[in-house]
Amino acid sequence: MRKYLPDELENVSIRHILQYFYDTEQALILYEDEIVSSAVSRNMPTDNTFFGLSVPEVRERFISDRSELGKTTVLSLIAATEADFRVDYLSRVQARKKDKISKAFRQLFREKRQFAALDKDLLRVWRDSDRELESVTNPFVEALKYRHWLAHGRYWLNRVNKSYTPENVYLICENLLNAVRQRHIFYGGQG
Amino acid sequence: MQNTDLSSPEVRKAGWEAIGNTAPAVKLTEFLRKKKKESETAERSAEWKTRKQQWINAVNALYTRVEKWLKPSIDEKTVFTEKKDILIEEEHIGSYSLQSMFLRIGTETVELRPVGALIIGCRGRVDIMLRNRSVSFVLTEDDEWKIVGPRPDVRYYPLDEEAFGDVIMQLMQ
Repeated sequence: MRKYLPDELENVSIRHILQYFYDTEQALILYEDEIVSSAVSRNMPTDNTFFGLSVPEVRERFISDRSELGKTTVLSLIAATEADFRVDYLSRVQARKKDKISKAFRQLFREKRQFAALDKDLLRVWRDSDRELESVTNPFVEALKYRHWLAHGRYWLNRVNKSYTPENVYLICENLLNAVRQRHIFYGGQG
Repeated sequence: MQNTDLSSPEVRKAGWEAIGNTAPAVKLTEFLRKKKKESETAERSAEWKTRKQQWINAVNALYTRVEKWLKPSIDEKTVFTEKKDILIEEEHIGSYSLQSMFLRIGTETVELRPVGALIIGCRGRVDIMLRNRSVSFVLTEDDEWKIVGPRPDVRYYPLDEEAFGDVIMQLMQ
C-alpha cells in the first residue's frame, strides 16, 4: 500500500492549542503585572527592555502582544482543523475504503493528489455527501477567509466583517469536527 | 473591521469550559488585582501624593534649567517660550495638571511634554518633540535628569546645557 502520511504525525488538537493560548495569555498578564509593579515600587525591572516606558505604554504593548497571540492562535486552530481533514482524506485514499466519501476522495486524489483544496474540494465532498453538515461547514469556510488573510501576512486590507477570537474560532472548529465525528467515521486526529 | 482582541465574557467562558476547564483563568488575576488595590492604605495614598509633588517639582526645575540655558536666545528673541496646562492621568496617582513647555524657534515649535511619574526604571519622563521626532528625558533614582539613548540598546546620558543643545539641533535638522 502506498503511504501518503508519515508514521508519526506532529499535528496537535484544537483543545491543546486553546489551552496553550490560555497559558500564554496568563503568562503575559503576569509579566505585565511584574513590569508595571516595578514602576510602582520603584524597583529596577529584571530586564531593561521596558526601561523608560510609561505604564500606559507598557499596557499598550501587552494589549498588542495579546492581540497578536490571539491572531496566531486563530491561525493555529484553523490550521489544526485543516490538518484533521487532510489526514482523514489521505487516510481514506491510503486505506482504499469502500464508503461513498472514501470513493469520492479517491476520485479527487486521482485528479489533484495532495493538492486538493480544503474548501472547494475536501469540504465540498463532505457537504455533497451529507447536507446536514452545511450548517457547521459554512461558519468554518467563512473563517477560512480570515485565516487566508493571516496566513499570507496580512498585506491586503482585511474585509472580513466578523470578529474572530480564539474562543469563537475554537467553537467553530469544534462544532465542525464534532458533527463529522458524530455522523461519520473520521480518520483525522483526536482533537 | 474585525479584530482578534479578547472575546466577550460569554464567548470566553464558552471556550474555557469547552476544553474542560472549570473556572475562567483571567478572572482570578482580575480579582487579585482588585484586592491588591483595595488593600492600599491611606499611608500609601500619602506616599503617592508625595511622589506626585516631587515629580511636579522636578519638571518645573527642568523648565527653569532649560530657560537658563536658552536665556541668551530668549533675550535676543530668537526663541520664545510658552507653557500650557495639560492633564495627566496615571494609575495610583489619579489625574493632575502639569505644564508642557513650548519653544518657538522661527516657524518651528519644540514641545517638552511631561509623560508621567510612573515610568519603568525611573521616576518620571518628559519627551522633547518636534513633528514626528522625539527624545526622552528621564528623572533617575538620584533625582537627575538624563537623556535616554535610542532603543533597543537603552543607555542614558547626563542632561546638561551642551547635551540639551545637541538634542535641539538633532530634532531641528
